Amino acid sequence: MVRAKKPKPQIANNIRRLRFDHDEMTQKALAEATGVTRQTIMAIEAAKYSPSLELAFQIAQAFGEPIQNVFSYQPDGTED
Amino acid sequence: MSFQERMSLTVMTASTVAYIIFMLLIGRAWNAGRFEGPEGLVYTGKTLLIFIAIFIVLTVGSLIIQAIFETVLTGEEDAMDEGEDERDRAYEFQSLRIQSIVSGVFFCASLGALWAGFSGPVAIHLIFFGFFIGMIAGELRKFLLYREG
Repeated sequence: MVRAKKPKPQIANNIRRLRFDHDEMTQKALAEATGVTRQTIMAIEAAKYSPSLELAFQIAQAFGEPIQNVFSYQPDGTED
Repeated sequence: MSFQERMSLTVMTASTVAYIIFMLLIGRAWNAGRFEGPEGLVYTGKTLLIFIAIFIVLTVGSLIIQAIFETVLTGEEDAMDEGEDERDRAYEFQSLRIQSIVSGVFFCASLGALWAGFSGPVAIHLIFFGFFIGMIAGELRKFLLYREG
């Protein structure tokens, strides 16, 4: 019997749009504002790495937005 | 390919080259019977300690040369300046976990080898080989994690 593969939960985000809305903030600028590397911002933006709660709050703070406007939980791995 | 991926590749390549050279040299000594008898353990300890020193110098040296090479030729001096963050630490942790599991398996295998009647030097070399394979497996895991994102 073949079991269907359970989709991996995913943390979706609006970082790309929010960066664009904030005077086209660069990934490097966001990385500096949150104290991580640009590669980490790239990975989070591409939903390939789920940030810690602290970093998620820092990113939201950098945009001046509540965290739920930046990140959302997708239990079945589907995007918005 | 990111800076971290290239660093992982450098560590894997440098350590594999160092270990192959070590195996070739050890092979000769083994055939000459230098690991037999009570002096065999002394010789094992001496050769492994020397090799560990050479191994560290070679691996760290390769990383320094790579960093200098990249800074001079590609101008990516940011890569090293950016330092380490939570993602690096998370990947490092996963790498160490793999490394511990593999090394542990080889440690048990070395105890099994002693039980099966193999000599002390064989068991020590098996443990050492486990550390090497564990390190390669850990670096490979880290490389793949960075590759994914």
